Amino acid sequence: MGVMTMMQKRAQTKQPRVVFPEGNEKAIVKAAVAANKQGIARSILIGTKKIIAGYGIDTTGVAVVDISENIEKKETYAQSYAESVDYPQEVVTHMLDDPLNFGAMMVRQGEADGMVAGFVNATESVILSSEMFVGMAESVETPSSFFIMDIPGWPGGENGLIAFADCAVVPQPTKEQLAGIALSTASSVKALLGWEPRVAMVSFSTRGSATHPDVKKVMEAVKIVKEIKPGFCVDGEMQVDAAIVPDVSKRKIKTGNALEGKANIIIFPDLDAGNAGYKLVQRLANAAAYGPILQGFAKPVSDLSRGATVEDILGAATIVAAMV
Amino acid sequence: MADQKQLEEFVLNATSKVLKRDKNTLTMETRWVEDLKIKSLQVFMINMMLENEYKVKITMARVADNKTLMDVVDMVKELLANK
Repeated sequence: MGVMTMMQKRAQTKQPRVVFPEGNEKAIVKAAVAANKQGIARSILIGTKKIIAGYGIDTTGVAVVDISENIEKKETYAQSYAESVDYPQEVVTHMLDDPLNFGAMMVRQGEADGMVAGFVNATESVILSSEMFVGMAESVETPSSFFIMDIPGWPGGENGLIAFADCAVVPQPTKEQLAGIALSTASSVKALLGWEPRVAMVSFSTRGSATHPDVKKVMEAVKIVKEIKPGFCVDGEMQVDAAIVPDVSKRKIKTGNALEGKANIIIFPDLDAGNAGYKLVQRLANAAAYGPILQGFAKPVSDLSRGATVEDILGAATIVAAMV
Repeated sequence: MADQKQLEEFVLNATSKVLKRDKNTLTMETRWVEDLKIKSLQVFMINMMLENEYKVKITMARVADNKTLMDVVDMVKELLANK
């Protein structure tokens, strides 16, 4: 079964409420309607009712939220946020005129289960809005991302599938951020695909074979993960071959080998390694790379590329819905 | 045109509020990164307070050059002058 089909089936069992703040865009409306029709999500569009109606698309079953008709809700949201975070209410009220922030706030308030944005908003805006209003997951300091790699002919991981993180967002994670990325990715793949996480935190060293501040960072990140989640299946620092090749793992890791070369999640030490890593696998192994999928927020948020097609948007909605 | 002292006071108050720091520990020479270890989200939240107060538009790209609190004051003055 293909990755997207797996995620679709998962989404269809939950049919969560997914908010699309860029509801004035025709492609977004089409995708939201499709998500509803396919039982993937209960779509919520934020936009101007007149503009949405003007597209002539049957939006039956899709909730449409026009901020101009929800002034009282906006004020309630602003008051609630301002009190909980100790931040000026009037500033929040002003910010909620932006549909992106309003959508993120709907997720915070439990009126939506996830958000899909980025068609007209820059990635930075989606991340900042989500960080501020959706909030971060427990023990996670920094948003990050992951890819699901589908590697033809490879028997490892989960039948040829493996998660790579972070390959798109955090350039030079600290040890705390790296630990957060590991925890986020584990949580994400469990929610998205039902995997039991087996996390390898990689480096150019295996069990102290090299000495360098970068190696130390990964070692300390592993320690932090274990302190936060005792019993969690994580190991490192190790080189990538020790993470994914059982024979190499056996040779290089003599004691306490938690992964035995069967990692299904690779956590790269920085963005240089992560970005190069996933691209190499994608190009040289003809692997499909699904992502980058944002993670680390308290609820799922997906970022779209500005040139996303309706199919891409629907794919992002499927991922968000599956991650709920 | 915003009064210089008023603007400085606003920046100090906003920074103190968002970073949850005693205002008396901040000066115009305080550096965002080296002294405050400020995060993107905190910069964003301070920007929003400035936008709301002074009715200017502040992009994250524009703030990237700010090293100190005084740089933020100068940035707002420039934006107001160009309005």
